[in-house]
Amino acid sequence: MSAGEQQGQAVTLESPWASAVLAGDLSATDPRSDLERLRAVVRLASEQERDLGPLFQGLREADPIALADLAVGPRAPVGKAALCAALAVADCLEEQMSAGALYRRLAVLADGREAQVLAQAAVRHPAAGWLLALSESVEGEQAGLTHLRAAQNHPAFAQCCWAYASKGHGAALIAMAEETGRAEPVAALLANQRQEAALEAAGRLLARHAGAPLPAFVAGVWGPDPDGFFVKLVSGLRSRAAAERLLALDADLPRTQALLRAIMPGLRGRERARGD
Amino acid sequence: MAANTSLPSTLLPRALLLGGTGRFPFNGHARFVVEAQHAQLHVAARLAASCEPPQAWEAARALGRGLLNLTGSDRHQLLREAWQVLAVMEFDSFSPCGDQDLALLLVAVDARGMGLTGTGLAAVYEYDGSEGRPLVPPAHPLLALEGVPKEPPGVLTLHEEPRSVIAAARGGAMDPGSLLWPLACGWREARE
Repeated sequence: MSAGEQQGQAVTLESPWASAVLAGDLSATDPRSDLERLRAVVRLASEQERDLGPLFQGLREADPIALADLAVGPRAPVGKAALCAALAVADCLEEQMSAGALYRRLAVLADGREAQVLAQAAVRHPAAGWLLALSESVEGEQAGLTHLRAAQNHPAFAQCCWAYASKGHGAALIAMAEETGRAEPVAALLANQRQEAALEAAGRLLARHAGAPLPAFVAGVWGPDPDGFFVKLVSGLRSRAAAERLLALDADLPRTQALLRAIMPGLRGRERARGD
Repeated sequence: MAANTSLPSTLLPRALLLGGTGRFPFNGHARFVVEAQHAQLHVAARLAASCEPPQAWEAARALGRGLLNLTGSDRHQLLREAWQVLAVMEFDSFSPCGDQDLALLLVAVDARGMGLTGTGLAAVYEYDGSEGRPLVPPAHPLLALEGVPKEPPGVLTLHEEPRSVIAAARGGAMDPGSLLWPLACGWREARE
């Protein structure tokens, strides 16, 4: 550390001490007593979009509390460099504060990269309830898309679908049904009195995926005879492939199957006319 | 599962089972009618509710397939045949809890009256279109059975037939509250 830096004068990133610190070498530094100088380095490096990764990694070993103060404390810098470095040590930061509070704070510091924060939070905590509020603030009308993608192979996937459905976030659930072929988003919408959205989700699922256990999940929330739901679904189908997949489901849906057989010729004609 | 039923869809089923309290209140539920020459067997059941929906759905369908071909000539024979079929079903293949994961209400009707039996039930109500009223006291033998017995259990005979009989399964059932009781049993035709 230079004499000027030791006396609290302006820190420059070019000084040997600052260079060493930025490289993650904290052998000549006591993070607690040098906290303000470190803060100055972090602020400058962030402004200049210099890599803060090595410094944060060094602090993670040397002093996690100082790291939390510098990375996400009240005076933490806003911007890409600090954010990327903070996300890289998120596991350590999660030991210093609650995960929900951490990612909410990181989203505040993200400066346009809130989606990156949400994505990492969702991967690390796919079952967390606080992700819903974070998703709402980051994704708006598409709230839940990132979270549900991350949770799709997690045991809490159904629980997550229910949480978003209960808050009226149909768009993400419809997208997830179409994207993954999973039936839970359809059931979640149906269970939360969002029948139109559930029908839309089921229609899109069938347009892209075969063999989904739709009848089982629909029956689980609708009642033991889900034929009524599927009859409603048939009237909204626009794709012959979807109709064929619905017809091929191994389920006792007599009214649905009769209706499908009646409309199939029409669907074929319509698709030919459109050149599908 | 869908019913192989002769009932017009606008008619209330004679046997209904209240939904559960979990995320999938009708997981493993089945409701159907077995038509014999001079009698009908109305079945409301819940099987493998502790399993994931696809397994529970298959279990409910298997139960239906097992019971649909009964031929008893009156309500007594129908009930006896039903229990004989149930006694040889491999419930362990449906659920890790075997026949303990079964709630079943059998309502047999012929020209002479109505008979009820069941297993895995916590309460049985008569329903006249407005609300359910307890049909038997909590200590009644109809509510004592768990699983499938080797011999057919006793039958509760009703000389005044209620419009429907609604049962609540052991292990928690939906409180109909302000809902229509049939809706709390997953009977959706009521509002269509």
